[in-house]
Amino acid sequence: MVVNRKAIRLLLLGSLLVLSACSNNNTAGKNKKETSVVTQNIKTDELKANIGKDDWVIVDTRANDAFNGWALDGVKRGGHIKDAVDFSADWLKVKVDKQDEKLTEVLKSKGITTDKNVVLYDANGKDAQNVVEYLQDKGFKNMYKYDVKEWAENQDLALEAYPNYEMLVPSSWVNDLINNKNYGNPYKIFEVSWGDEAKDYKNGHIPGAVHINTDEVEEGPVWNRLKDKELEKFALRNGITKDTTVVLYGADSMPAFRTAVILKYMGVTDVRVLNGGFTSWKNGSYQVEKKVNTKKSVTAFGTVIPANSEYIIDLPEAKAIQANKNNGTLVDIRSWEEYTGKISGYDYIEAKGRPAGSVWGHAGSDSSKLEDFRNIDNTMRSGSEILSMWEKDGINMDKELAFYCGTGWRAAEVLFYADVLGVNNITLYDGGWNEWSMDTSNPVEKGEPNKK
Amino acid sequence: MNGVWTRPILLKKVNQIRNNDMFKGETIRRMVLSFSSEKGDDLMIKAMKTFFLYPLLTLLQFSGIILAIVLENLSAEKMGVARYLIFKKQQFESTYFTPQLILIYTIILGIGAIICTLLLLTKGKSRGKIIMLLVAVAANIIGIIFIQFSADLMAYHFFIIGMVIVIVVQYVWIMKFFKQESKST
Repeated sequence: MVVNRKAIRLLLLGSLLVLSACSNNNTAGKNKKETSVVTQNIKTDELKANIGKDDWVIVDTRANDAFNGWALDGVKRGGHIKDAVDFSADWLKVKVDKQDEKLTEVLKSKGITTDKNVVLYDANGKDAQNVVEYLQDKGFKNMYKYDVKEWAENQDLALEAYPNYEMLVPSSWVNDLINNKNYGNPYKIFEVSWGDEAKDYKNGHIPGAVHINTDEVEEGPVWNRLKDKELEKFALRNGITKDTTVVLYGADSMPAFRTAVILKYMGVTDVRVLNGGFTSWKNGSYQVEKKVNTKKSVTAFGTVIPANSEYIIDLPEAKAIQANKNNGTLVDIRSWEEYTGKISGYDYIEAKGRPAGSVWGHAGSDSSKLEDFRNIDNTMRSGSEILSMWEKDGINMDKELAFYCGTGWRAAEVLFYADVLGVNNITLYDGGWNEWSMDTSNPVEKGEPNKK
Repeated sequence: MNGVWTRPILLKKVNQIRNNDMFKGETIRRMVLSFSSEKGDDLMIKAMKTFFLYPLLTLLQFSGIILAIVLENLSAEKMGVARYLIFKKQQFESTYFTPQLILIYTIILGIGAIICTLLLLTKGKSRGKIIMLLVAVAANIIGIIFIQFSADLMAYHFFIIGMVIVIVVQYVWIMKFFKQESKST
């Protein structure tokens, strides 16, 4: 009996150990399933077959520049797969208020929802995985990964790039430019911000960059660009000729875009802006310089200024567009509150309202922001989203589009984006609402338009 | 509030002041110590005026200039401030500070300076009066110099407004002083 009892005890103990081991194994398996995401890789043919289907969404998880058209990370051709939406892994690293809330909103707006099969592609084997992990936390289940290099290698498979994507450059391109010295061709890098003190510049800048104060290209109280003769002096002082490759950037990109548009108007043929501003340079872990670089002047610009006069227009031309709506549209790049005349948006502009007949073209939450045109990392928003937004606003891209805002900063950035997207017949109405409202004989509207 | 309730507070205040190194001056010490007398409440009011009301009024008198200095400094750091000041400059130049009005203001300040100088020479007999009139003369002269030679400042018109506030308040002080003096005589 004693032996039997002992045997039963041993048997029970053994069973317990086996059970607990099994149960531990199961738990470990469960945990593993929860922490590491198991996603299948999708083949090119399979992906091709599912493009355009309502229950499939193709997501480009690479840097915004790769989506725009740059061949990065060893990809043979740049651009994105047709119908793909962008959701860059870089956005997950951005530190902003309510980041998760904003990203959730972005997912929704791009149609990336849990009920769909989601294909996430990259070229470095990391971006797609990072987004997969993020989406898994959001409850996504049917996810597939794809290496876009395979797609890019096959010349028969289309990749879409913006017609002028080169105008907006990635930080790696700027770094290459510095290293290869633009292959002996003249180039200049400028940090653009307001003020002589240039705090942003002194805190650290791209090696070799020189500071441009926006007051070097515009003057008050209208804040239009300077007279052509003065602009020529500005170019010569900064060593810019029509053939210089000019790269502009800033902690906030808006002043850089403003200056870029003026340089294009003057006739500089190769003007580039760093996509995402100085943050993108810092995120690339490239060298940062603190030395103050002096301006090196040149003696001749190389052409008569303005060589590209249609790029910026003034009040008479804006009035002509306003008077003949069949040929052109004044596109208002201000907040809805500014457009409808609830606020002027500026301490130095008293009048509220808009030029009569102008169409709202979106902007941002206040007079210094452009959330409707920028991603969370301040890179350019997807072109198809910008164009469909304008389509909904009733903006006809076949007409001449004259973008304006308060004093020409926000509108300059949007004009540059429209140029990147290849929209033809576009211009900046420099004086904007500030100039328009100064002459009380100019027709003005307030409130919501008849057709929003 | 006079009497029973204020007495303990007053005594506490007297002790605080008595032990404070700031109040070592004999005149102040005598004034402070006399709080314990029957006229304590009146003296307290007088002390309040000396230590709080007058400095506060002086601060208010110069608040316009302080604001102008702040604006001038910010205009080098903030684009919005710089543009606002340029906008206001343009607005002022076509309204309250046209060249003709600027000339009139200069003449007024000149007249003010002459009147105050004359008062100083004829009636400046007490120390307080001399100081007050001297400040008024100096403010008028500085105002004239400022108007004529500082037009390049971003907050130029705000400085002028600040100067005018200083001068006007100084005139009020002088008038009050003269009124009090005529009453006592």
